[in-house]
Amino acid sequence: MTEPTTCTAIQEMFSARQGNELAPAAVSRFEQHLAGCPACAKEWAYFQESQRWLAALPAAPVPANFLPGIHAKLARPSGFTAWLAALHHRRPTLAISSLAALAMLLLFLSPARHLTPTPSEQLAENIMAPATSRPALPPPSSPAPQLALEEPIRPIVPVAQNSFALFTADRAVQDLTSYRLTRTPTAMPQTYADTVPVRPDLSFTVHAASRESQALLYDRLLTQTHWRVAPAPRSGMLFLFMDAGDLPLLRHSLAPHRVTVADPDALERLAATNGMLAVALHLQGE
Amino acid sequence: MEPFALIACLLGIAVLMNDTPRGVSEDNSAASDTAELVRAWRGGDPQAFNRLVLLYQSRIYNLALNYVKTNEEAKDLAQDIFVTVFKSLPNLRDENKFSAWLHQLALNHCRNRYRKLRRRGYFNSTSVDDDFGAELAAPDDPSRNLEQKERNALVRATIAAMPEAEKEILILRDLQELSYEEISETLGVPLGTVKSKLNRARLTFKNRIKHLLRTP
Repeated sequence: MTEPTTCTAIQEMFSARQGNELAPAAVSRFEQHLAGCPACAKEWAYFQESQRWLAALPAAPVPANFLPGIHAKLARPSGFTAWLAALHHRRPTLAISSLAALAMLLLFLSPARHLTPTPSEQLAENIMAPATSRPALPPPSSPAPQLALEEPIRPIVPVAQNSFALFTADRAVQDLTSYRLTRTPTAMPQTYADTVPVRPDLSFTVHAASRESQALLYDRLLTQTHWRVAPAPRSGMLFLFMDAGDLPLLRHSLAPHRVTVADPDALERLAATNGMLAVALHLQGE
Repeated sequence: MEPFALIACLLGIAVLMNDTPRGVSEDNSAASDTAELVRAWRGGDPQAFNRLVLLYQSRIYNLALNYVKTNEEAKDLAQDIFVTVFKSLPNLRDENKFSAWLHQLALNHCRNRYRKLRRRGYFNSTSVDDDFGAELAAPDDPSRNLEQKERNALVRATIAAMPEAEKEILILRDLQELSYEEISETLGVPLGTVKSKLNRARLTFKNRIKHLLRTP
């Protein structure tokens, strides 16, 4: 005996019917329902007609000089270089002074380099300047313990000329993997606070079993050009700095993986707010 | 003529001559060549990037057109997408997934540009400069009648006004003609979800233009 088919169920089959993706039994159920239901038959006719309209939509021709325009943009200096070039054009003395000041600042900072956090941790700290609209975060319950450096800090390779992809996926995953291989459990930092001087607003555990799937996840996150992605290899985590309104996008990005959230209430609360969020993703093998 | 313009012209001839109804010039053989082009570019062949652009420029430009109002802005947006592609191609791990990766990246660009423009009130007013559906008025194609032009403009306007998630999936499938698998990879959702969301999007589209459709 076949189950009675509702109008809603029939309309959910419209695309599959249109694309000839229904099994023969479903097709006969579909046709049988339409034969006895004028409302659905009418909606099906509308659906087919609307699909014809879509199919008839022509593509716009690509404007002239499209490719040369891309190369012109690539050749154009960007970011700091562009700013400096513009400054030099208008105020040559000021540009030279700015460079000198920058050089002095770098000199001043360089002796303490081995005591400072890794580049990713610095990035995490720098871009976590509190946004005005961001809810105030409670202070850490205990001071962060001093990080014991058991191995030299490996530089994370920046991608040249790339303002948003700060680290290569290969290096990040390599760091994560080698971290797991070389560290003993007793030496492992217990929480994010051991390594990164920020409190994430949200913490997710992402069950990404293989190195490959972790790399794919990392690639996917990097395509969100308006997020900052900071790997924290010592704790096997990725930090994201993103707008709260992008949480649905994050959900999409994490969709292939099993994900658990530490504080579901916080997730619900923060999803309704504006401002920047720090999100910690704890990558965990399954 | 500038060297890049010359290269574009030479390489573009084949693409333009092989135009499909949607202007999507990537056929199956071209798709299989994509991975090879990505490898060639990584191997230091500077022409490989140009060929990748020529393969995908129509898709990406038409995708951008759904998020902005003028041809000039769509061109700028699409070019920015390829600039990002150029810079972040080293991050792509699997050359065979270039298409999904490109669309993912392009969608992110489009979303960002759309939100930025919306915050500035860009979509609150219409202007005589709006090119929405400007391809409809292409003077070099007299065969299109006014009814068809108006219909296409309405279709574009209807798509533009749809909720973002539904708009994306409709564009990817019905305008960009991506496979379910490619959409699944692009949006990061399971195949079954792609199908159900696509049907929902098509029903929304149908309901929004129902009053214009011929009654059965």
